[in-house]
Amino acid sequence: MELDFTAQEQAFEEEVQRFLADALPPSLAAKEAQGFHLHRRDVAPWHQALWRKGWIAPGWPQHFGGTGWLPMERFLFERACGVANAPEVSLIALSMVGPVLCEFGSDALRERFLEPIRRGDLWFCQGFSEPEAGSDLAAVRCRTRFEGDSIVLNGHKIWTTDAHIADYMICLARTSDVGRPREGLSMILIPMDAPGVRVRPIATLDGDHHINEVFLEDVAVPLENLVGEVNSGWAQARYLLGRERTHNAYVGMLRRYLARFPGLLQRQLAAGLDARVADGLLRDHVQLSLDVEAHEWSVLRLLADEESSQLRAGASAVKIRGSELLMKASELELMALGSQVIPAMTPAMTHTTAQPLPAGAGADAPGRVTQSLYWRAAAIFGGTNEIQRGIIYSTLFHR
Amino acid sequence: MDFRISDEQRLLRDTARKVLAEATGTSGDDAWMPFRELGWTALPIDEAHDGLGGSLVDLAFLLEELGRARCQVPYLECCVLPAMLLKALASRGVAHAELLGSLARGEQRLGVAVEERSSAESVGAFSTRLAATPSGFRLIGEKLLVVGGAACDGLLVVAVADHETCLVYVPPDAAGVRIRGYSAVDGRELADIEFVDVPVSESAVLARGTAVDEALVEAQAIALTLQCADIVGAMEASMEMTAEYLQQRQQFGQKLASFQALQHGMAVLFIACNEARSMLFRALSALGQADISLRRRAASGCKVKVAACARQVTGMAVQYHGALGMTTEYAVGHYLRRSIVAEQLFGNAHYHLAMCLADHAAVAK
Repeated sequence: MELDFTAQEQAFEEEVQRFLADALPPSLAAKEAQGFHLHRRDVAPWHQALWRKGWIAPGWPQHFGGTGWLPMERFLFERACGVANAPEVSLIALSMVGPVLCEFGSDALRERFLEPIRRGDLWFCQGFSEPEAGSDLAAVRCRTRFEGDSIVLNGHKIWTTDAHIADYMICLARTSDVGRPREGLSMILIPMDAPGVRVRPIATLDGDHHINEVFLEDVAVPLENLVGEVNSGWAQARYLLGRERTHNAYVGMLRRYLARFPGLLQRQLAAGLDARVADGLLRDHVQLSLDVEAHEWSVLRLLADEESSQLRAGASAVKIRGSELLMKASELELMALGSQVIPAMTPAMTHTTAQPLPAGAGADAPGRVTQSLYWRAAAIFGGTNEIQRGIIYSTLFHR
Repeated sequence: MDFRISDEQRLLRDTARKVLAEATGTSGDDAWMPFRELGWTALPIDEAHDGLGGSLVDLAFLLEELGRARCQVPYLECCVLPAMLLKALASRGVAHAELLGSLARGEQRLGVAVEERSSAESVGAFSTRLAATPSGFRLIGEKLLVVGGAACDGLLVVAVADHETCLVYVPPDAAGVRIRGYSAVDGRELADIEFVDVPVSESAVLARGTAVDEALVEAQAIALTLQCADIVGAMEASMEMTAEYLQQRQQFGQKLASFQALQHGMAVLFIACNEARSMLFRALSALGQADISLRRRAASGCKVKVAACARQVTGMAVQYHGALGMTTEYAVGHYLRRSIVAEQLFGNAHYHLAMCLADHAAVAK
């Protein structure tokens, strides 16, 4: 056992922090810190900076433009980015489509997509969920038929993040009804401007627009847009889930919340917050920091492959806890801000200094409710926390 | 970062699991025998003093097994803690090689007497005092909750002399030492000890001043963390026992394990055990840091987290056993008792959360 970061890992972390200080535009970091869902064009300068640095695709194999980082280095990178208020860059393209194409895609597909994804020219959305296939992904119905050199799709996708700004969808569709439901699925890349693709926004509790319904009506795509072997979609999805074990642990985001809380509390105290209330909040904050420390070390144990038999259960555990702790952290912030979080606020309101914010709200307040409500989704997407508890039980205890 | 258990550690763990399971029910000197014979008394002590120079991680693996086996031997309190105290003094230039050697060889078990009636938690606030006499000193005061205090070969007593903390060696059979032994809720043996004008020679005052204050903080941070290892072992055992019981017990024509509510409950227990273990590793890591305040804070944080998880896990383990869980005949309830006692020894979660808060406030200023 070696329960410490190596000197090399520590040096790496410092290098990342220096890069963040140099390359992350402060205005973008400030916008990200507010918690509103950022648009593709907002994130573009940061994407470019990472691309120029050669750090845009940490999870890819090195010969396809990956960084060759070990899991611990990726962790340190993501944690530092979280703390520095760096936004996430085109997550679906870089963390899903890229690795799947590197592993399963034809040379032609790699040629067409990998470099544009790295450059930030192509934005993807993920078409997995359907009205009747949420946590039960094997129930996907989206129909396909093969016509000459084309695949024609008909289906209804839902909860599709970024469909309204994406260039392509990576779609999980049914290519066979033979055998078990999961054995007849394939991954297909669909241009969002193809005839027959219709996107309808879904308004969410947090007041932002990030998810959509997507209707596919006789959408024809070339046969070569099918990724890997036909009917191997389930294996590809499994491959992805196995690789991204700890992304949903949100260590960087949790550190971000913890880091800014003492300052927020100071300002609120200066503005007249009752000291007894502040004491209670500080106590909750310290308790939360301890919970986050334990959570973070659970992630480190997973990354270091502590005991492979517990990997799957451990991954589900950090997914559950990541979402629970984020809800807790964001709610604690709401408590510290008090009535300042009552007014509905938009990103636009925060950039006009002419008018004071309603309800005497400080610059910290806008976006806080939005983000807090959004974290509810973290307990739902990627397999709900109830699904994860089922996985933990069946992995460890089922006989 | 490498969490893989070494071959030596695996051997230590497996041996301890087997030996301690077989030793269930033994007490007194018999119960100490494997600790001497297998070199466990030598583990916390360096080679120069007849020890084996084990790491804190090695000790944590052993303590986990004590928790799992619900072992009543006060190994942590009468061997590891005094060893850490003496080592911390040695690193400050106050060497007591003969005591370390006798601990390592298992010749002496040393009770450590710190706690007092007025719950003097802060360093230097003890009311037990050492008064000067023409021929040496007299020790006057009372210590509580000395684990293993009624069956040890020597006592290390923390007292105050001339506004300085000092550490005094007292033989339990010295004149004026009144030991009142009693059992804890979970069966472990403790003692309250009164010192009525106990004569103390100059050489029995092992150390004085800031060296003692610092050594206490240092040794207590280690003992606290290793105590958490014991609790983690107990938690995991009670979780496994519960999973097994859900497989056995049939109601409504099916195994309890087939009910989703109970399956998800088991997942929650796993998460708590997993986080407690993570926090333990974090504290073990932090104990290697140079800054003593970081070490102390990590140990306190560890206790806060592990104690809360233990309450949840050992309590739910009883719940999931139904009425059987309430019986003394069945083992699962004894884990709950053990974790209740362990939580209160060395300071409970509320105390240590307050310590973390104080540190936090100090850093903020």
